[in-house]
Amino acid sequence: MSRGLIGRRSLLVGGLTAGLAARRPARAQQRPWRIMMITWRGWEDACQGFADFFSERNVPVELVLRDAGQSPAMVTRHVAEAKETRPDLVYLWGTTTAMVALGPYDAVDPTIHLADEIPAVFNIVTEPVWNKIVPSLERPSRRATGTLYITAMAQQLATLATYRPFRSIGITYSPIEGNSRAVVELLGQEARRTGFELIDRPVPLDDAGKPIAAALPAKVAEIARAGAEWLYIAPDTFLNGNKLPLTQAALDAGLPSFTSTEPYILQAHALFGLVSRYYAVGQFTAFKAEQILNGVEPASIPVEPLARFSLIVNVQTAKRLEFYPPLSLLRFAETV
Amino acid sequence: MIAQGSKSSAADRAPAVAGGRESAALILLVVAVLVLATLYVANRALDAFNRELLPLMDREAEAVSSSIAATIERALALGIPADQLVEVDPFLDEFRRQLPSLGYVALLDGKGSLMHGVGPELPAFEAMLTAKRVLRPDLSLVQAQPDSDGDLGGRSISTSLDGIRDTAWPIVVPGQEPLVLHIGSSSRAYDAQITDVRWDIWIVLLVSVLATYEILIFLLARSAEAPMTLLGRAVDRVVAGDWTRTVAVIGSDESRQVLRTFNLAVRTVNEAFARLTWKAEEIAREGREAAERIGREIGALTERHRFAPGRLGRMTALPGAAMARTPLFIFVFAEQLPTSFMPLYAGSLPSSFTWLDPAVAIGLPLSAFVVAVAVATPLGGWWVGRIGSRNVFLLGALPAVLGHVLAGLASDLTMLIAARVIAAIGYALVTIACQHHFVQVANLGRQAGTLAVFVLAVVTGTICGMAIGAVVADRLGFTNTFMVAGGLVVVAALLAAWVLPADSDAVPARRAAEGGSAWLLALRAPRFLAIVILGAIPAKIALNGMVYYLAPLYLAQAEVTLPAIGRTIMMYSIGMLVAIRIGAWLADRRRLYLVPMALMGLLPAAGALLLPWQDPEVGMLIAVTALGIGHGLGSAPMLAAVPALCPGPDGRRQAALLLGFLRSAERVGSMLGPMIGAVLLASAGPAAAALWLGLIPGAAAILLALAGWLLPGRVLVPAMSGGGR
Repeated sequence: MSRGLIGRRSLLVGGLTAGLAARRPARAQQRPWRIMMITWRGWEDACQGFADFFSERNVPVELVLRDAGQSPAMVTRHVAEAKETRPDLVYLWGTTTAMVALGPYDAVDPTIHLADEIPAVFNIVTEPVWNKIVPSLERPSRRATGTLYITAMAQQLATLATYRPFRSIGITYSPIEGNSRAVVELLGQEARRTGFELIDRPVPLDDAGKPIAAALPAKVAEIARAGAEWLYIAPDTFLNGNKLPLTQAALDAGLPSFTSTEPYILQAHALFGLVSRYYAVGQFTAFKAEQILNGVEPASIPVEPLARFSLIVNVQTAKRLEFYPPLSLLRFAETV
Repeated sequence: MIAQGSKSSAADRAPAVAGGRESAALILLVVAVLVLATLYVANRALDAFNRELLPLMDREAEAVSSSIAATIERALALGIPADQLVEVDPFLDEFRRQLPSLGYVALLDGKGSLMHGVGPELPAFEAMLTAKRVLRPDLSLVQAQPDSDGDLGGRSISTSLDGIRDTAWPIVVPGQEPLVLHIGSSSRAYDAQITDVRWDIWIVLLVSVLATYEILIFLLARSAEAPMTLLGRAVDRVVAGDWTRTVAVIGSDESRQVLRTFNLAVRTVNEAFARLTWKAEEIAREGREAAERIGREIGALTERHRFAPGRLGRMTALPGAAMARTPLFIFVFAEQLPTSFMPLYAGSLPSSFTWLDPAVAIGLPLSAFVVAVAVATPLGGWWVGRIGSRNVFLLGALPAVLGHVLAGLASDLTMLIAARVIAAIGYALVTIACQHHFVQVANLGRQAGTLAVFVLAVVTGTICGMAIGAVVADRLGFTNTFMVAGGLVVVAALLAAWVLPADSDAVPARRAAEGGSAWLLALRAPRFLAIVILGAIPAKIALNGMVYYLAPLYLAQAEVTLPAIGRTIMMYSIGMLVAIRIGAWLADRRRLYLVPMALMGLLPAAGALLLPWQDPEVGMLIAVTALGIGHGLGSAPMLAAVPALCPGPDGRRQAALLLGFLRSAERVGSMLGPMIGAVLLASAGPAAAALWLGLIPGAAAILLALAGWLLPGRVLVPAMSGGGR
């Protein structure tokens, strides 16, 4: 009997130890993970969230930073370097970065794209399916997955209507950005489906084929004159670089503006936003990255948004426009 | 020492009220105490409820105002000017709808004029405002002591206006104009609930009284009536000179004492006779003359009396109708608990019959029940003949309990239908067992009270079950109600096991009328067919379609509460109870058969026609009661008309066959009722369905009357004057 007891006791102790051990990070690592982070326009909140996730959980990672400086050619060069140095994971920031680095899922060129050699995770990407980065959100089916940071267009517009029901929306954007063209097309679909007017005024291009920043205020005024009730601000790098003149122009024209990404409302004068905080998105992306590093196949990790989005109202803008949110919205919205 | 004659007549009296005046007085006393105690407690409870109501309303208003004020304060603190607040009315209304007791929510500006307001009582508030009867907090005082934690409770002021309690909450934000939020609570919203509770109390009281009555009857029968009846029979024997039997000692306490005393007396007398015969033998040995004389004396004695010293037989109590009554009452009570909500429950379950209209699918459990009863009844009849009514009752209790439990646990419609079929088998077996028991009792010469006892137990059980089932379901939920029903069936079975005689001398049940010959007979009797097709079947269609199927759905759709549904359906049984005596009187004394049978169809039609003009609860109540009264009036004449249609030497057998045919036909009607109701509901909606379900028996009744009138020279049912009975 006593032998049995001893046997059981050591089993118990062994179990406890195993249980305690299990609470630490799953893999007893000998060396830190190496993650190459290819960013589009420098280090910002999502990258910070990504990095902080690992440091808060005491997971040793070595982050190799490679900024593309808003140049697709630089992205391709970083991809080549990645294939050379073989990090454990590649992190991609931004729609263009992801499109250039991964290539369309049905036309991968192994010479310039990552081509499934190294697993990748992407964030701050608009419309990954429309942009042919993954065939489906539930099953990416390639060695890359990521997170969404914008909610579906129908939900955005429904939220917009809770502020004020509208009959026409205006949008200005850089016509050479894939992001923006995707958004305009989706807006157009919703306009036809629910019956509002879309006033579509892209920014003119100069001789070099680049959008003219100085033309922005005039375009916004033009949209206001055409009878738009709201200005929709798309996630567009050009617009983001000019967010202050853009939103100021909207203010001057007495046009309320709505955005689906945080910079325009947190760092500029947009009126109303349904946004995901970039920092939180970065953390969520790191969560997915950790799964990949621990051996889960990216092809089976779904591309998802955060569960909750923030409703943000810029009260100063509201006061200047004399266009206040309804009380029921004020119950839930954050104010800046 | 031995009581004479009066006890013997007790044996023949209806055992419904056992033992005469003393028992009646006892029952009345117990019931009076019960009623008084319940009324007292109920009154105190309602008083306490009313006392609690005002503070409860205040607390609810406070919670709602906190939320409203918090958002308004936030808006003001953000710098939004008070007169530029957007969509205030929808915002206020969203909160107002959360509490039924809020009559209005209003926002007043610093000067006391109305900025925004919502709610049905708003006009009344505005009137009070104009009349300056509404108290306002002293805003200057509040502004002087800004309480940033927003403990509004300390700064509010309440006024009691006519039937409304107004509470004013100041909303003060530095730098902004102060506002006052007014919330009006009225207890009117709770009046409906209080009325409901009052009704529930009455129903519980009614059911308690009836159940107490049944239990008392049972106890009295067991402890007093049965032994006394037995004693009476034994004494009758003794009076007739038969001293050969003692009695089984049954009952309790004093009854046992009396019976033991009787036995002692009988034994004593027998022993005396034994000593007498011994002495006589002694004397007889002394000489022939003495022997002859003693022989003559003893012969004279034994001519009038019989003795059996040392070999005394034993009399046992006859099975009494009262014995089976209480288990039957409890069983029917349990069976009827789910009646008031069965269609609602069926409707709440997922249905795999997607090809069927949902309304029809809901009716399936009801029809399946009837079909299963029809199939199981002959089986039960055969079984009873072999193993006796007690065993069949106990055997039937098993599927009945199982059926109720499964119904409560049903996860989809198919499972409910299966559960109802199982319960139906149990129901058929138990009902047949009780019927057989009563037939046996009747065969032993106590026919008078037997039918009344059977019917009364069933009707009382039905009334109680229908009414209280709804109350239980309202408080404890559908599933628990089914469990309660199952539990009660177990109680009924235990009781039956205890009191039903294990009859070794089982009277073989009459074989069910052979189907074939019944059909032939029926087809040759057009008058009988008319009664069946135009009277019996439409009546059952109306009962099952209107009361069991449509009424709960109709009332639930009109947002009537579950206990109210139970009360409404119960009125069918009460109407029937009231009218059944009248119907019997019409048939027996006035020989009116056609008129009551026509009324059986016309009254429901009248009730149904009134429906569109009434508010749903009242209208359905009238329709259901009219149906009950109609059925009560018509059922006894209908049953009495059948033997009256069979004059001639073979009349009794024919009548039995036809009655069996009638019952089967009624089952067809019972099965069709929910289906017809469902089709009507699906195609035309609840109001039209109710109307048509009432009109069907009405139209049939008119045709029946026409048939009776037009048949050449004869009334539908010939006035009987003896015939074959």
